[in-house]
Amino acid sequence: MDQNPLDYLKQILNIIGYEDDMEKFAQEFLTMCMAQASAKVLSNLSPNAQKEIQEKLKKAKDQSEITTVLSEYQNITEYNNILQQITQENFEEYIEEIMPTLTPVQKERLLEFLSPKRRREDSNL
Amino acid sequence: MSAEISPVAFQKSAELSQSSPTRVSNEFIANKIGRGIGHAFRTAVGEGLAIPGAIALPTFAYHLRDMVAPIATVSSNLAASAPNLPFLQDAATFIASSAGAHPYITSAVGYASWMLGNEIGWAGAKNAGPIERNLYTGIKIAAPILAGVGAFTQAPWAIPLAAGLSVASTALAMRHRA
Repeated sequence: MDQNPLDYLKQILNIIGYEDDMEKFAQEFLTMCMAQASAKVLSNLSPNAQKEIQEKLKKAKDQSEITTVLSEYQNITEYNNILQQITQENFEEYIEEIMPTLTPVQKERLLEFLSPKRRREDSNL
Repeated sequence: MSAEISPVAFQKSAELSQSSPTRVSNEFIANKIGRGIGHAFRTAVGEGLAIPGAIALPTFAYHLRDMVAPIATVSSNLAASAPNLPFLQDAATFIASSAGAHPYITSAVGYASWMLGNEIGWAGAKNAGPIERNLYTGIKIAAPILAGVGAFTQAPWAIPLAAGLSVASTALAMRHRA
């Protein structure tokens, strides 16, 4: 996902005909991925560092604050790699879940949107 | 029965079809967030049960021999070496104190907790990759067999091996608890 992940998810929700609040769903999806990435990074730290960082993360209000806190303890590149990997896994799992519920037209549009050719065209824009 | 689809039924069917991706999407998020907590809980509880089960397992395999002293020693050592794991301390204290007085009960409880712990712990570690999943399963199967053989032959490595294998499988499961 090279483009803004929030917009990317909303485009998918639009294609599949998601009827609730798309913005809210996309935010929740990405927040869930960030929480999973934070938990994974935390599990690699010493118990003392974990306690310290948990206290600080409780006060963090958004992703930039989380990133700032994590950067004190952990290589931020590693966090970003983990976040990317987790987001990718969750995204693939989500697509597999919704695919059977789609109409043939929705499926076709979604597959076209997800196709590597389309992604290349987008990145060239 | 009429072969025609009533307008209401058609509308209901259309509504269901339209709302399906929305419903599945919402359930996906709800399950993911819920499963994170659920997996952590199941893994911790399950593996918490499996460790004392592994310690007590040799008494099940051969409880008529004098295995009480080694069990108490290993239990105490484990509890001392892992002060940050309260469930392990409690389990070790329980086994050490009950092994002498109630060997049959300890054996039965140990074996039951081993089996139950495996099942619950595994449910919490389902999101591990295939290699680690197979490794986990392999350790879980190997531990009671080796512990049983060791206990029958009165080998001094029986209980440490069973406990060590259980701790290793716990570490594997806990890596994937979220």
